[in-house]
Amino acid sequence: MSAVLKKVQFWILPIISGLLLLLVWYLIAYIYASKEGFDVQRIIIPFPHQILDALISERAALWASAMKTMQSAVLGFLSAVVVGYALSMLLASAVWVKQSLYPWVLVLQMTPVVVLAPIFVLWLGQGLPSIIMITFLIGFFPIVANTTMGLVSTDRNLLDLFEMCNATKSQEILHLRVPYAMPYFLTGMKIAGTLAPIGAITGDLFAGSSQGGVGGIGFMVIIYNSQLKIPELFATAFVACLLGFVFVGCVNYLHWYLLKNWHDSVRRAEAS
Amino acid sequence: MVTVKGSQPMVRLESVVKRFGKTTVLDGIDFNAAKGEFISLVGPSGCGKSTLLKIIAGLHPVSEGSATVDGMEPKNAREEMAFIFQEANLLPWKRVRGNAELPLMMRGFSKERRTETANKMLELVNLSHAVDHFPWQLSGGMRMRVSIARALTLAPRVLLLDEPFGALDEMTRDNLNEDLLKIHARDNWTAFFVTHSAAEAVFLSHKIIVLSANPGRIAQVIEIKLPPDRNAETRESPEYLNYVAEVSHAIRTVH
Repeated sequence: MSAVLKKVQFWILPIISGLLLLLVWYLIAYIYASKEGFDVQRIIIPFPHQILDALISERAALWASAMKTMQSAVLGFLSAVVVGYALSMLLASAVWVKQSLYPWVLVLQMTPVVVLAPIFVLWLGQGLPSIIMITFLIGFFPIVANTTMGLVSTDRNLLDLFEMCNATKSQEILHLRVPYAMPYFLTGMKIAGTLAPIGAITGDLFAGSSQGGVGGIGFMVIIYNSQLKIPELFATAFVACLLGFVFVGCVNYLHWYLLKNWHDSVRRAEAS
Repeated sequence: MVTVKGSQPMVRLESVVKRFGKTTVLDGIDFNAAKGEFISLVGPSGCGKSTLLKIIAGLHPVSEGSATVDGMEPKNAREEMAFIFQEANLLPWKRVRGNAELPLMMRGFSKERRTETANKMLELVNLSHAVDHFPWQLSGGMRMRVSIARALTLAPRVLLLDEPFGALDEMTRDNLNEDLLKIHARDNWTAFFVTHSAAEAVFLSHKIIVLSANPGRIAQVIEIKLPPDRNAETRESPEYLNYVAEVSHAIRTVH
């Protein structure tokens, strides 16, 4: 298959499937409206153009909410990255440390965040600190699990090479273990990056408030739902999805940028 | 027991025994290697050639007996030694020059000194044109040349080579063997070279130690009395071919 045809396929096929999906949506909404009336249809399954209208009319409020959620997601994600990386270094430092601490990290991961969320609200109050805590907890484990794996799986021959060079422990960590674990760490970051906006929105649902005149996306979901503003609710879902793409896109760019020169995963993807 | 003795031993192994758990891998290894000697270790798979090399490097402690390099415990003689591994063992995130500089960096040399020395060594192995390449941009032979350059940056007195050219095609291997001999003639380090190839061992060595397996013991020592300036023509000489036949026979019949 020629390169041009491949590119056409890459763009055209999703557009065609997207248009078909819109058509099916219109069809279902129309059938529903013809049975139950257009007023009921609007609050159960709105037409796509009604969602677009809501997106335009509520753009200022949605933009402000998206920015607030982005702020929570970024802060929660960065906390997960910093604390997760530091903990991984600690876990990888000695077998007994890992044996002592890792089961408790697993316990924290296995406890559903939705159960812990009300406790955080109780401790930290409504608002940003609780939302950051919830986002942090969702993204923290993939970073710890992946980075620890990378730090402890350094190639034996490379460790021998460093030993032959009389490298100190800190040189071994800085010049070998850390770069060797980089692809693992970045994979953990990619997973945490996918989860961070979800964590921030979940946090909003439990701890969101309109402090400062605006709430996050999760808070808007509660408001629109209580007012039966269903097209606005769909518009909010669209904005949340967009936010997720922007967030993951940034993390993926970082992954590509840091590995582009040397790691097989990036070079193979670019070659194919 | 066969003992290899040379004058002014650079490496001395006395009654070395190495066990992993209850398995004895090496037993009663005795030999001295003189300064500048090129010694190859051959023998069946699992006879402990690489283990012996790692004992000399101080990467494995001996279970019994003693090992010294230039009169010191191997661990304390690392300044004198360099190890070339089976794989080129390059850091994929560093460019060629960065890889060659690694031993100097670990020992705290200045950036200028590191660059100057690495450039010289890369020139020696004909890689001046590729200093800014990443390892993935190099062929297998070029990667191994970087590994050799890296090993030479600290001007070692003992070079340990663990089957470094085993994965390369014959022509590349022959070229690297010739280059290695030229560098050896220039620097005169003591070399221990693990290989499965009788032809390679004969071409490079002053002495070939044939190890038997389970446990590894020195079964035979073959002195190679070919002229020191060996080249492609050496490989066609009757003496060389006779030695290759003798070593091949020794490896085949060793128990």
